[in-house]
Amino acid sequence: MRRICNRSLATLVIALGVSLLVSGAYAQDHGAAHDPHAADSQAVEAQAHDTAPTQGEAYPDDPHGHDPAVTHTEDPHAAPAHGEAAGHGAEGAHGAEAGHGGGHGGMPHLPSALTFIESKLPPEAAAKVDAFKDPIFSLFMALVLALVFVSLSTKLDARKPGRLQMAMELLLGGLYSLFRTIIGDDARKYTPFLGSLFIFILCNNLFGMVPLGHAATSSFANTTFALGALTFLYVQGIALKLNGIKGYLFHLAGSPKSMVEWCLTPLFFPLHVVGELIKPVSLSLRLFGNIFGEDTLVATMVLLGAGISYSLSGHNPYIPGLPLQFPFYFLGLLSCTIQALVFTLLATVYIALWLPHGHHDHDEAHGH
Amino acid sequence: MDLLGLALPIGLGLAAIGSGLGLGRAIEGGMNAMGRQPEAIGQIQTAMIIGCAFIEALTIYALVATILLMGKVG
Repeated sequence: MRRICNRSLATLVIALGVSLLVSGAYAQDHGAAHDPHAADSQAVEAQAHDTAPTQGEAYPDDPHGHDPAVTHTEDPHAAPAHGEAAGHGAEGAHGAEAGHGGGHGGMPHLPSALTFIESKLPPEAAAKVDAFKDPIFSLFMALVLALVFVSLSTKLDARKPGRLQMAMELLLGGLYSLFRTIIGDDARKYTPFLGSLFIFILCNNLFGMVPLGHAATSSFANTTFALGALTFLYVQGIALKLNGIKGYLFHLAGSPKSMVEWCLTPLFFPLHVVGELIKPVSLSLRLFGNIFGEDTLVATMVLLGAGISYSLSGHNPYIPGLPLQFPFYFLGLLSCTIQALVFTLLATVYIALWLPHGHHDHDEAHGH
Repeated sequence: MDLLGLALPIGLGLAAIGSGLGLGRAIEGGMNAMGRQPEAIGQIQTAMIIGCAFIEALTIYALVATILLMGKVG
């Protein structure tokens, strides 16, 4: 138990290091490439925040301010400053729930804890902080998880079982038996990596459901691709270690047995190489698409609810929005868990496919 | 002409129809198997979820393409 805890902790720390490196490089590029626009829109937003109370009085006459939802799904660069300001006034009145445009081409997203810090900062600094939003949240989540697991691994003892001991054993034992159904008894070696992958992704996904939280997994290049690339390296490392360089290449050539199969090798080899390379991309795109789509769905429903209650109440900005997003939270909880499970299970299957004497199912192996 | 604004949701909907049909068949098969062999539920479920993930990924690719092209809708 303690060994598994310590090893999963070490894996988590390495995973985070890699993910931070990748995301840091990306965020710098991203921030630099979009600096003028970002600074511009941030300036508009900052101005809007400052002037929101006074603008809030005026917006029933403003054609852009009638429906906060419409204002916010517009491109923030194209929206007139006044419309933005009116929208923000309504948002302030609706409390912390209303989302605001930005990010992926004006997709609505809910404000996180960072949004409020950014509104206090000068525009350039706010744009920089915004570019590092996903790394910040994933680092925060990793720190929390690391602290929890470090303290648990020193405190818990199998000779003095308590509730926590039971809970942790249930978690790790459940994960282990899940991996064992796919990999077989070798699963013990891979449980630390795969289990920490599961816990990290699940906690990150669920953090997007928490008010003022943000799911770091809703960004492709910042988080999910780092996780996918890490899984790829881990799987290839295992494959090389277990099969040796010859066995590795033989497997990549499609394990030819007869003369006909040897002749077809030049055809199969590139196919399998591409198949291997596409795995991390499809893994990370799946996680990103699901979590991002689900967060956007919730944010859209929040905006819709705010817009409906705003127009039904005769443009009273102090009426809270209709909780239209409520049913979608259940959908979100479901998809958060399933996506974390799917990412982990697929990583397990990728390992299982490279095992020399494991469940070797070639139909599933290259059938995607 | 802004056909892109029309094409994106239609394309996403078509992808959703396809993977909805696929998911329905996969889950139907899984449920049947589970009903016949309740003792193998764990393994069937794992395989079913993995299969569902591959099917569902197709819609996600359409969603990603939509997100990428959203900025080009005038």
